[in-house]
Amino acid sequence: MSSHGDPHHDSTIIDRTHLLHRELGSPQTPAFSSPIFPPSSSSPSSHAIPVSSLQRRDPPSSSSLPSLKRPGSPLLRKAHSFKLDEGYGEGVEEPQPVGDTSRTSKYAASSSSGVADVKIPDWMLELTDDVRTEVAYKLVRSLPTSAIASIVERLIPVLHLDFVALLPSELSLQILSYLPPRSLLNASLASKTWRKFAMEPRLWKGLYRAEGWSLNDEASFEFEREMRGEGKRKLQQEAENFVRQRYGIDGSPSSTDNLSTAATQGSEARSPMSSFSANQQPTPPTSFQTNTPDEEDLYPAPFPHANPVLVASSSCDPANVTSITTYGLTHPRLNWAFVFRNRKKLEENWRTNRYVSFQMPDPAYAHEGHSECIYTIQHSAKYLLSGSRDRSIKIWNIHTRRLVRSLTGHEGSVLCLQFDDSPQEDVIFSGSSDTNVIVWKFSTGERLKTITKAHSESVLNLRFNKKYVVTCSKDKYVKVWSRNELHYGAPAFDCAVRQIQLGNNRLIEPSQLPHYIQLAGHARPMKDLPPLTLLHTLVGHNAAVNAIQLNDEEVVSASGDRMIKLWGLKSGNCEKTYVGHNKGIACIQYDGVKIVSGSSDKTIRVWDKGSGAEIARLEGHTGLVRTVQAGGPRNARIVSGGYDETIRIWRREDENGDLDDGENPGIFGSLRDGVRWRTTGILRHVHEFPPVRPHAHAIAQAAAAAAMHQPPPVAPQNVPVAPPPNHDNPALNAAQNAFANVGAQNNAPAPAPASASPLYPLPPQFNIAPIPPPNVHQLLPQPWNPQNHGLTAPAAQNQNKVFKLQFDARFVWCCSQDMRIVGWDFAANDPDIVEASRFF
Amino acid sequence: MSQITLLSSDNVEMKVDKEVAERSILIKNMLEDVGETPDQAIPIPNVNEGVLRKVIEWCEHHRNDPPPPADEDSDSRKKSTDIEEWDQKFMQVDQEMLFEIILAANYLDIKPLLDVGCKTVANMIKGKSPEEIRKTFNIQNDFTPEEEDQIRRENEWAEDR
Repeated sequence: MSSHGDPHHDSTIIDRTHLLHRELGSPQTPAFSSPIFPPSSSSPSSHAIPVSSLQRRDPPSSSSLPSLKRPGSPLLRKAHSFKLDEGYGEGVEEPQPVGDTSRTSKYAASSSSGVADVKIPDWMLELTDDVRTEVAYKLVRSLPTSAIASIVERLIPVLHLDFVALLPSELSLQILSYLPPRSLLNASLASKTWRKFAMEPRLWKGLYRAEGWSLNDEASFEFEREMRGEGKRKLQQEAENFVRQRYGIDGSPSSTDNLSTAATQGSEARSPMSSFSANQQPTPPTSFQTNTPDEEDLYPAPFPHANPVLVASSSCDPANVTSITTYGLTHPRLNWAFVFRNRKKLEENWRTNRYVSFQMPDPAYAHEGHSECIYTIQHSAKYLLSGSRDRSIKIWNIHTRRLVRSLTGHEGSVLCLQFDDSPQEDVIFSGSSDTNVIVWKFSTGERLKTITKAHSESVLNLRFNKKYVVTCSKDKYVKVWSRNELHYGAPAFDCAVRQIQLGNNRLIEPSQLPHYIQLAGHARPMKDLPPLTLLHTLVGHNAAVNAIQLNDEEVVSASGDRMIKLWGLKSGNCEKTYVGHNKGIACIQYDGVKIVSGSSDKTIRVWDKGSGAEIARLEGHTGLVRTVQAGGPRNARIVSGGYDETIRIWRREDENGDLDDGENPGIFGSLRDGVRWRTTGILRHVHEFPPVRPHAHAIAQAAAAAAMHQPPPVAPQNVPVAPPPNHDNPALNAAQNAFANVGAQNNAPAPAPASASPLYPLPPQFNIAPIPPPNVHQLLPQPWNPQNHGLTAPAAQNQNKVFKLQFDARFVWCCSQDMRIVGWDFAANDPDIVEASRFF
Repeated sequence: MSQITLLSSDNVEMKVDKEVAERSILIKNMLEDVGETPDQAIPIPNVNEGVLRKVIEWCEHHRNDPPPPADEDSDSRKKSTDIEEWDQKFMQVDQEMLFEIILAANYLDIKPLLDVGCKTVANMIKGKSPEEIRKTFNIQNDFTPEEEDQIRRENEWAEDR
């Protein structure tokens, strides 16, 4: 029967319940419950509430479902008994059904000690739920309102449950994974446990992806791999040192309780935030170790033999959004909340034109530069290549801004190039006004092959992929070349033969054909067709073809005849023509879904590939639009440059001025109401850089950035896994110093060393100094003023027509009539953004 | 339509259509392993009667749902907390029942029900201040005022657009 015997009945209760029963007309004997609840004399409360039943549940019969993990009933039990402590006297150990709660609560306001052991008569507990509900309700209603309020108060633990404490971690995380950033941050303030969950890297990685931001998976995997090795070792060392200092060499504390207390005090003394981990019951939630094998591989349970208290005692805040590493729920990992936050800041910098600019070559090595204007550039993570009117191609190290190599071989201006520095490809293609195309080995600069007279006039643009090289020319043609050897019988082989028959192939005369095709009596042809065999000559444009883009088996071409054409490379046929520009088209981009084009009519237009409809028109340039790139988060950024000597940054916004998410399928078919491309900034590749001078605006911005990014009074955290600031990294230190110098003029706080110093040596590609050395002239941010754009051109007119630009998550690079390449870095000297940007 | 019998943790038998029970991947796999419709009741040792009835009610309603898309994880990152109307009503239960349903859906491997349950809880958090979240889930605030202040400041970056 009831677990609380029943020695003495409180007469009041009996009286009142008798009354109630009279009113209800209920039989005094326990009615047999509804069939749903068969009477169970052994545990009368088992059907009262599910929690109780969970508590009393037999262990799962191992015979039935041995391999399955149980849901978190033990957690439920733990949490429930904890909650009960709040409302009950010390003597009440047993979790109690709802009925009990309301009964005892009646006396809560008066002398709780005297009424704590009031019992409900057994017969009452055996009434059906319905009846007891009614009894309880009427009983409650008979009380003064203040008592009712107190009952309600005491029922909170029954009705409001902290699921993070109840559910297995994975389920709590799934719940939190549905929250947007703002809600997740609010949740992180609920309690320390909640903070641990809400800052869990996996959640923030999900949110990062959901923003549509580019993500360098390779870099993040590599980082985590390192963390697992390094972090584990260092943490264990930390733990051992801690024990050694506090408890002597043997490291065996007298009791875990003492250790726990000591650890808490110790860490609190070090840093206010550190107690997050120490006060928290630091054992990783058990369910984390019952994950699927996959999950376990990805997030192995850390420190199998380290004392969890010790792990937690290290002063690293598990959920500090200002550090690149975090403990997450289990072990040191890449702090995706940090990455998310800094990507957000970077995007904000794009929107608000916060950047620093620099030039290449570094002014100290000006002699390394081109001697005439630069027509084309392309960059990878590490290198930038430029092609110039001086007939050379130069390879630059982006991070040192120094010349790596200069390639000569063309006999005219280098008008176009494309390279791939991956070890698999290791190749550069370049096209020139000398009508030749040259293939170079990227790593050595060796000239591998030349297509002489690829066209009859200047080669204006070229693109390649694994299968094709496509070139276009002032001669009105687009030519498609095979990158690989062609074997007899391959589909492209016939195309190539046709070009030979037509006499279009300059390397192979029609008379040589028998060597390549199968003759009667021969099982195989005598020769395969060599790489760079011409496959197609695409005929259709009536003027120079200025630009092409290659996407898989498709090419789009833009011409001075005002038309864009889409070609299929299997057939060599023109599949669609896009008409709309009022003047010749100079540049084009194609992503398989939409085409972006820039024209001499000063507009940029976006076309839906499938329907051919013009879905957006970007107006603002005051001259020919010579170069355009679309991309960025959700493909909502276009950067364009032209003969008005400006570079415009455009942002696709919805009616509220928010970034348009572009996932509305209608966006490609027709321009949704309210969606527009707005110029958010204008960059100028000015001829002369203004001299460095204390510029109030820039300093104010830097100070604001400092204040925003470095919440000041945080004591620099003692990050145990971090090596001392890496003084071997001059670039980074230069960045820090520069940052500190700017800040110092305004008494702004210097960046906290902990967050600025890398935990591990940065990979070489991050040796980039985001601010130029002090003697470099710096293009200061110029707030865009629509009134004066185009009017503040530098003294020398028409010296800075923009020829080509390229942007990525953080930089815009551009070349122009000037002999220098200019870059803009939207990390704007924020060391946190710089640090996080390797994952962008 | 063949029926099977489920046995709840508190020893209550329930007959359900096999098709309905097979919304649970756990049960589905088990039946497949057995090969034929079992005569005996299938014990569901982790789910009590009240919760099991609720879960079966959901499975009944969704018995004809198409299977969820396979590459769930890639696109569901753009997570919506939209819940269809019937499910919203279904989930209007006390928190304890809600969490029990989530646990049961997890145990029985009924992913769509698990998703609906988790979304329901997420919607209880969305748009709430930290204080409101604490109230909703009876969470004890164990931050010192200084800690709370600092985190609030840290979180300010998310305010601007």
